[in-house]
Amino acid sequence: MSDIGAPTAYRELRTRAGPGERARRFVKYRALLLMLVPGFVFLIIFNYIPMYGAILAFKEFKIMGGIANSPWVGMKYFDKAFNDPHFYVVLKNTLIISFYKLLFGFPVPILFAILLNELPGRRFKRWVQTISYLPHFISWIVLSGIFITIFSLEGPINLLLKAMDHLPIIFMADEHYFRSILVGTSIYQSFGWGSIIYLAAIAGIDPQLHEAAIIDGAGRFKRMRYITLPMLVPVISIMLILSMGSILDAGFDQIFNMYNAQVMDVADIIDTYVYRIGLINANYSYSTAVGLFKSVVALILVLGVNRIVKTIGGNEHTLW
Amino acid sequence: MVKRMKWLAAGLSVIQVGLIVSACGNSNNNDSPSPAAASGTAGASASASASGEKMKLMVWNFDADKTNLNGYAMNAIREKLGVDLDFYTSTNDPDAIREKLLLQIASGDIPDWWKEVPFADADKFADQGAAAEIPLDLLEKNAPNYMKWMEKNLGPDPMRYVRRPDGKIYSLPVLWTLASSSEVLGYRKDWLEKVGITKTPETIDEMGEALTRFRNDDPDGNGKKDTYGMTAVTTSGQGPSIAAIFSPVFGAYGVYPGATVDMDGKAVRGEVEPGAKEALTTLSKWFKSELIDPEFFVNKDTNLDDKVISSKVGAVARSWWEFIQPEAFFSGKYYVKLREQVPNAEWALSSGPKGPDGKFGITEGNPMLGTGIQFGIQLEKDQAKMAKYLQMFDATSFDMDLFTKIKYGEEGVTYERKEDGSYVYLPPYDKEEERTKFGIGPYYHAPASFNDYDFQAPFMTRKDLMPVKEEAASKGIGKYDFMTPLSKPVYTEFKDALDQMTIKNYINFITGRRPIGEFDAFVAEWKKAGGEQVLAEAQAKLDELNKK
Amino acid sequence: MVYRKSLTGKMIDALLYAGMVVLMFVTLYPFWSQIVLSLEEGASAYSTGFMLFPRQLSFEAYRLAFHYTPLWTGYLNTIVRTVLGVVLILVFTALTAYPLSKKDLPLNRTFTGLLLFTMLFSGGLIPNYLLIKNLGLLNSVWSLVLPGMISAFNVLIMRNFFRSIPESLEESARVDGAGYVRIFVSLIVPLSTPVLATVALWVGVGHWNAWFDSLIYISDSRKQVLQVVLRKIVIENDTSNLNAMIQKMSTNTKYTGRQLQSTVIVLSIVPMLVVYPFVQKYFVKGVMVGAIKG
Repeated sequence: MSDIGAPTAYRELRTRAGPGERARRFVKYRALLLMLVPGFVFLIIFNYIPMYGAILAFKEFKIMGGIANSPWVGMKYFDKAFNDPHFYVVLKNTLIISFYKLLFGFPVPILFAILLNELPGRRFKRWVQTISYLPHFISWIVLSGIFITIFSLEGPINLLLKAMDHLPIIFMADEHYFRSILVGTSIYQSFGWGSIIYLAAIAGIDPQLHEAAIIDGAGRFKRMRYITLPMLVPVISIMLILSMGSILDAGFDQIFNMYNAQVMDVADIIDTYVYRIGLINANYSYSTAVGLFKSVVALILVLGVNRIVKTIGGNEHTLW
Repeated sequence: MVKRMKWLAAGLSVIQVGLIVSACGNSNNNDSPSPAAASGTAGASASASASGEKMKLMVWNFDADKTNLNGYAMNAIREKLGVDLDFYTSTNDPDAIREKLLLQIASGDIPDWWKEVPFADADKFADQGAAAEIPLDLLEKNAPNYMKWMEKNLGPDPMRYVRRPDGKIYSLPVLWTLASSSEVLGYRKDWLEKVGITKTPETIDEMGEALTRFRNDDPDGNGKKDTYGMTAVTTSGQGPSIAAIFSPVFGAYGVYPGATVDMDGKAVRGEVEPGAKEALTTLSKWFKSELIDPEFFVNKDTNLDDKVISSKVGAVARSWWEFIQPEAFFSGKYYVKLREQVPNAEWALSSGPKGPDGKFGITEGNPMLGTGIQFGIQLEKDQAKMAKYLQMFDATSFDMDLFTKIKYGEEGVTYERKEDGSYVYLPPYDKEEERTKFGIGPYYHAPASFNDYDFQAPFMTRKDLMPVKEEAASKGIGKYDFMTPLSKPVYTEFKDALDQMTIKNYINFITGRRPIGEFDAFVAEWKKAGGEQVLAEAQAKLDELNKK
Repeated sequence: MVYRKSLTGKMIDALLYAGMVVLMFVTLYPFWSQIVLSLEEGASAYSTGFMLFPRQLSFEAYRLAFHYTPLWTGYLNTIVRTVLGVVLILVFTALTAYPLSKKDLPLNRTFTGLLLFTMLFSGGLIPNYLLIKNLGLLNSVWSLVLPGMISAFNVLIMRNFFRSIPESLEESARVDGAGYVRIFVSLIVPLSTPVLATVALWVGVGHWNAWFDSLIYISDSRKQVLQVVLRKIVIENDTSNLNAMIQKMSTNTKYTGRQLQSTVIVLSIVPMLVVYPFVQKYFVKGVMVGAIKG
């Protein structure tokens, strides 16, 4: 494997590329360019070839005609979505819930990873880590049952309120609390699992940095602040940018299993709405159009945040 | 190096295959769906039948772990009809069945037949040429028992509900006759006695009194005021359900929310009728007096079951068979589970309280659950095969001998008939694993869709419990949505918005967040949000049905 | 780390410990409740309320599950797809990510853009199904492994990690005459075990929990994966599923209920817990190698 300098490929590259800097780089990286080939072959076959299906958003899908023979309907399904007043409600909810989840949920795994790293005792650390990611494996059907009980009138939270002479609250049906519950329970379910990438990054930090700092007399918080956190910045920024890609997925499974009629106005999101509509009347073109809309929004946000990160932190931490 | 080049070559050939193949895929889609272009099996069997070999029919298999292709049941069908059989394997997840069928049809593998698709999908399959026309005479000739059963339950011309505007039939409706009489109102009989009420409440006032005592007189005797009169859900199964919200109380005022019903030739939606206002007034009064579970609108089905089984509420509306012994019919969830906690627990069933005008009832379900069965377009040209399928459907559902063989196997080997008339599996066949190996059970969908419960009664009910079952089943009285099986594009468009609006307002009216005085304003909002059009559509359909 | 801690340091440690212990209990609960429900005598296993210990111990559901053949075939199929998936995805992701970690690689922005685009846009179910069908992959484990081979997310995460490896290490290897391939195999990969372990874990758990692709692409029940088998059991015992109910009704088959459901949930999670410590080793190993090299 090591003598990959395949002569034939090399010659081809050299004859094709013109003189100058670009050609020099082609030559320099010829082996690496070859390395890219298998990955992009997969990408083309399994990601790009099926992408023609997205045109269904502009067509009226006829099951016997296939995608190619379905008639064009232009923007019909986009108009349908944008003329539906409820679509704006669900879009707004999706954005708000997603944004809150990001705002509060994104830092938690980072904090957890840093604190966990501070724990002495490798064995204990391992236990905590393993247990912290357990909720990730429990489906929302099960989790929602547990949370509905916890927040019910006779649940522990209301018992606590009672003890403090406070009137009981039906949390799950209260528009003021429901989004907070969504955000909180979603953090609960995912913080341990989400911390894995940061723990990996922390593991990659050269211990010599810490040792040098200790010799210089840096305390624990100083080292956290000036060594661990800065070393995590590249991972944090790429995770942040990539999380924009799913900004319009506010958590179908969670919300579907937890919401009820009372909180519909604050909890109904694009995915739950499209699902309910689909139950009554499956419309492939409509859901494709909504999917395409979500993709475009995600693309804009990814590029936007990438730009912001670039402005703040320079080229180092961006996608490209 | 050599290794690397091989990888490259392999990669390139994969690309080529991908391109060629996807080109084929497109051209395939352009072809009109001739039987030959469809699935290989269909083509093969068609030619086989021509050459005098046995015709090959397909049986749906949604539970591959519980079936046996060459077991007793399948062989019984083969023998009875002189056909060869194979499985279409799928899954029991309704969403996935739907998705998979769509993919199969879209990719040209149209199955010979399918079942249990939603009405709107079935309409599309018929409109877009994926489903075959089913000639009425073919049906009458090859499935006479099915037709008789349909006529028994729907009156003459039972196919009128599924006839398309072009006058043709594209699907065989499935009746689930229990649906129209399944919901009953159950009271905890032991609680009634405990609080000094000797007879099952009959009027709305008596019901209110019972609920009041359930709340205040500590019916579970634990010394705490932790019981409520009644609870309900606002979502049931997969979606929001207006009918699940205290329907018996609405019935007392002659309205059936969540259903489009025929009131003397007028199509009405119960949720916006004046009677609903009276029902909501009563409910909000009850809510204020804490008779109703204060968080009923948060309940999911499991929470509801939980509250009933853990004796938190004394009245609930559910299917009648949940309240009686499982040996009397099926499940008996509230009976069995509750009795494990409270050994002397008992239920008194009612059809709902009588209102001031003596009206009563509960919103029930339309017995036409789904479109039932459709045939793939390729069978339009292979009527012999369609006829054979119809014969199979008829025989497996209504031929006592074949029915028993499929579900219970061979008398004396896998089952015996007790003196009390019940069917009992013999060991080792009392274990499901053994029955699967032998190849019998309810999982052979050929089609397993037409359940005549009169015909099946001996299998389901122990003879001595027959009166219990009859008594319980007689309580399910009410009206159901006549629009369920009909094509209703307007309703489909507005359903979600209207349902959400209604449920939200109902909860607000009951809990007092919105004064009942604004009910008429709600009705106006509802009509404006599409309700007007929905009612107009329903009226047109009703006139059409009544004309015939 | 050999240094002495101050008293406040120790107090902070104690606080951290206490906090983490509480967190452990809180996050353990849902899983624990499933264990409890799976061991409860059928009757009492009907509650959504709090339960710390089973009231009536019963191993019946486990006995049933162990005799349920599809569960074990499901396990086997899931293990096969997971192992295949993890190994192949790691190889191809690393192969793709390493070149992209070179900022001056020709066309780097184009490649990254192409990659990112696939993360955000997809063609939907129908064209994917047609592709799998036309490639002849239906009913084969490859239909579950190949389509997700290159995920932009994994590639970009790995690429960034590769970038964080000090340039100087690579430079010195180049001076020693090593080509990029040798550097990749003998320097980058060993230094990157933390990120490789992370991606392996993501991919592994993803494959372990995946069911929709298997449901759509695999019809042969002997090739069906664990999660599909589990879903089936859950749906079968979902009392609000009308079709399942009508079917059970017609031979008066009983619901097996919550106990069996919880049992299968537990059985599906346990392997993940068993495997985790082995993966975790690599989070530490990266540090060791880094220390030696540096």
